[in-house]
Amino acid sequence: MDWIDTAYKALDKASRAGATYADARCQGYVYEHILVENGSLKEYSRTVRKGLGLRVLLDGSIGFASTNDLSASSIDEVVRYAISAAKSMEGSVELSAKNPLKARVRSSFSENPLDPTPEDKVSVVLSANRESMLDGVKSTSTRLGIQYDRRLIVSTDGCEVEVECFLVGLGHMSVAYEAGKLERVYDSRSRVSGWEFISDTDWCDYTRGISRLAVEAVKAPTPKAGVYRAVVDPQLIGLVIHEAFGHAVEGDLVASGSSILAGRLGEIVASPYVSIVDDGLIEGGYYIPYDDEGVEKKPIAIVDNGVLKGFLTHLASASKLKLDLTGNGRAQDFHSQPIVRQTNLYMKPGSHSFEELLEDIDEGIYLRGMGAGGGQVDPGTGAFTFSVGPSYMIRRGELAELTRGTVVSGLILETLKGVEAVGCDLSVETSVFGGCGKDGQMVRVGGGGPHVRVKSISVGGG
Amino acid sequence: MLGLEGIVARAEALGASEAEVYFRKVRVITVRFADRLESVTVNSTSGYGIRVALGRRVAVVGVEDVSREGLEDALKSAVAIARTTPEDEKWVSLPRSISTSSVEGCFCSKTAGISSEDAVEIALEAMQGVSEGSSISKPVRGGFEVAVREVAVANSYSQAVSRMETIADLYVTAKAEELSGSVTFTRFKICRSIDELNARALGVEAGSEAPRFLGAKRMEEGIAKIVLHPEVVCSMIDVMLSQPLSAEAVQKGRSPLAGRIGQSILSEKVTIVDEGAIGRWIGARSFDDEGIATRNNTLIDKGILRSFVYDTYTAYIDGRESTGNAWRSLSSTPRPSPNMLVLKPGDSSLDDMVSEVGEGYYIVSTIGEWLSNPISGLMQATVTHAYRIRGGELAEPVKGAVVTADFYEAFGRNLLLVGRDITPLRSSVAPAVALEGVRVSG
Repeated sequence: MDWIDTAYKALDKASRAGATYADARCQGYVYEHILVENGSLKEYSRTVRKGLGLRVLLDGSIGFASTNDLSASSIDEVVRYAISAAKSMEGSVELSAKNPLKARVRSSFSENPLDPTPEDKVSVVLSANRESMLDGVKSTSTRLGIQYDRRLIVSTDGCEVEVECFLVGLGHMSVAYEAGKLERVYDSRSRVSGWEFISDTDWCDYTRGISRLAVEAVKAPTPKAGVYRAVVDPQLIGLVIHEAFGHAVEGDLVASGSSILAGRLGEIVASPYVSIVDDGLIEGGYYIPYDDEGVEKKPIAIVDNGVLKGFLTHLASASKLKLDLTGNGRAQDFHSQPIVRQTNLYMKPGSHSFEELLEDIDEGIYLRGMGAGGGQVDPGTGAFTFSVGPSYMIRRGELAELTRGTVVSGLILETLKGVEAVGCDLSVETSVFGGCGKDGQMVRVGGGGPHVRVKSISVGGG
Repeated sequence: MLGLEGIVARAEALGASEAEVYFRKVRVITVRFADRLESVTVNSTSGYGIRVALGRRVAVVGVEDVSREGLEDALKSAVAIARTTPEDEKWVSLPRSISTSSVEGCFCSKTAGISSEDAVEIALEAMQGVSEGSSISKPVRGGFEVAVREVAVANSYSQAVSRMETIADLYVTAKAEELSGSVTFTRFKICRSIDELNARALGVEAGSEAPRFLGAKRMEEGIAKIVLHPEVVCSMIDVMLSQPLSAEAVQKGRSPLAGRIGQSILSEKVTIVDEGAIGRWIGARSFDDEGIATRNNTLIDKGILRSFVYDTYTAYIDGRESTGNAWRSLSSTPRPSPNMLVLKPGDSSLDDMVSEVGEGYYIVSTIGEWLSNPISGLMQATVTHAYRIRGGELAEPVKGAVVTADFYEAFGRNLLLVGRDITPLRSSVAPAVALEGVRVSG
């Protein structure tokens, strides 16, 4: 029995058991991971997953159940669990009506990245790793990730959408040692693509660059703690607006009142140079033409010239907030219910060259994302913190000495209102090794922007 | 369906010289709520982690497609990958024998038998507790999860071992609101049994604590004395020590503790035991993910580094036995990591510590402590909830600064006092501590 039959059978049983709405999501997933450490293969692993998740709405309550056993008896059990879960609550959930879309789409690629032989794949990682063993480097690890994700959603309101996506990438970490101190620099590059992204890139050059940075950074001082005028690079600006702003526009957090931006549509929340978009199909980002509720993901203006224009929604939050559907109902996998997630959130480019961004800064810092380790935000207060990679001091309008990675923090609205100028470049990235976590679910996202100058940001030092 | 020994035999028939099967079956009931109940979820999943060796060529395949064909494909693909990958010169063998230790308290049959209705009741108690805690508090986010897990391991050298465990995990975020502003505060608890949970009390705690942080001012920059809440200490020792204490990090040149066994690395007030065999801790289990019996292992004794944690692979490299610390996902190679880091309590009460600090901060909760760097030793966290300490007493609420310190100095010569009351999190247990010389910035 194929997926579609299984999914429709689950829907049919749920309807007969009293569900006023139901959707069934099937997923097939393959992930290959090759890890080489210090010149030798440490791990070649492959994950294969298949399963079904069923969501039902019954008397205003949502019930959800999932299984990776697609036998008829297991599907019957899933329907029973989902219905009894819904019946265990007295809810008042409403779901916005959506268009009954029918679509089947796949991300573009030339060569299926699962096709090359294991030897060919290992060889790319081994050579990239061995090339990175420069003087001063104590430890290296290089990894290759290949993801294939196929998702189908069918729902009782007539939606049937299937999305297939390949994501590939290579990540590398170098640990440098100098005079009793260790410093690590990690970076990765990923693309929604076939094997061609791997075969067309010079990974040895890439890993050598990371090692050189680690060797320089371990000798560098930590920037003096304090508040700086700063130029933030695209990788980092993507992280900042994702963590510190993007989460606060997620409709479920807005609806529950736990976002600082609740009730502020139409207000000025950033400087007039700031425009932020959430786009499921931007070049360089992850591939999200439809969300996991079967809604088309269109580009959504979140901030337009400093004014808060939109929140991200899924079926439940759109209904609660009385807003349009934006196609942001996303689930980690078939075991998870869709919640409101960003897709590829990025800042739109402005008009300044990189040199113009630097030229007015007497003393400041050029904060860089390479080697950064992520970030976190408290959406209730708007406090954010994130790590930055090795960065450069700015003196008299020019780049000066390198400093070690550290942590920066601030309050998001203050930081975005302090954006003084926006660069004319644009870079958006995604990752096959990580993603965004929320409520225990991890999803792939993308993000980025141009280079941006901010009036003040707090640098942690150490 | 093949039994675990049957799967091992099938892998060997396909050409593996050694094979290991790790089986995991989990059923989780999750209730999510905001200001009202949002959803109830029941997830059932099972899968196999298959590790095969052909001589010294090793591969791992994880499969959650549990049909007969899915399992057969996984075994064939594991053998095919192993056949074509380079030899691992350090490979010796899978564990030659597997066994279990006697660990009481990992499983609660009442918790395992909970229905979705029961789970909803517990979530409702937590939500009601918030309003009982304060009339200006309401629940804005929370979740209750009950998991029942079955784990089994077999390999070419041993029959299968298996175990069952339960986990009850609750968090509740309360929002206190008045005209001048609002603030959120989260409490959480994780334990083995719903009987230990006391959901209402957790809700009351979140609801009554939240208003105390209304009107919090920014912290002042400078070097300060601080008291850290036990949960912040749990996160810190987890982030700063889990990786450095792993034999893998030591062997790969990524641990600042390499070569320091027998040396004093922290204050003599610090004793840290990896309590893998104390059943009430969430990280405890009767055997690790390779089927090696767990134990309680003193890693740092009065500040002196005594041991690292090992799995079979890293133990062979150092010519010793595994300490029962292998962890894996279905598709990853097992790696050594502490089971449950326990910072042993001292004898100070919270009042003692606040009084000792005199002028400083009591840091109740932080975010971003995982951004600390365990390799360089730079510990950092962004404070979301704290109190100023003035004249040896708790004073007004404060927030919004980054605290940084060198971990080995902070828990070394700058460690003033260790608290007497411990709090467990998922993978560590700790009391509060009082530190000096901590940088506050931002």
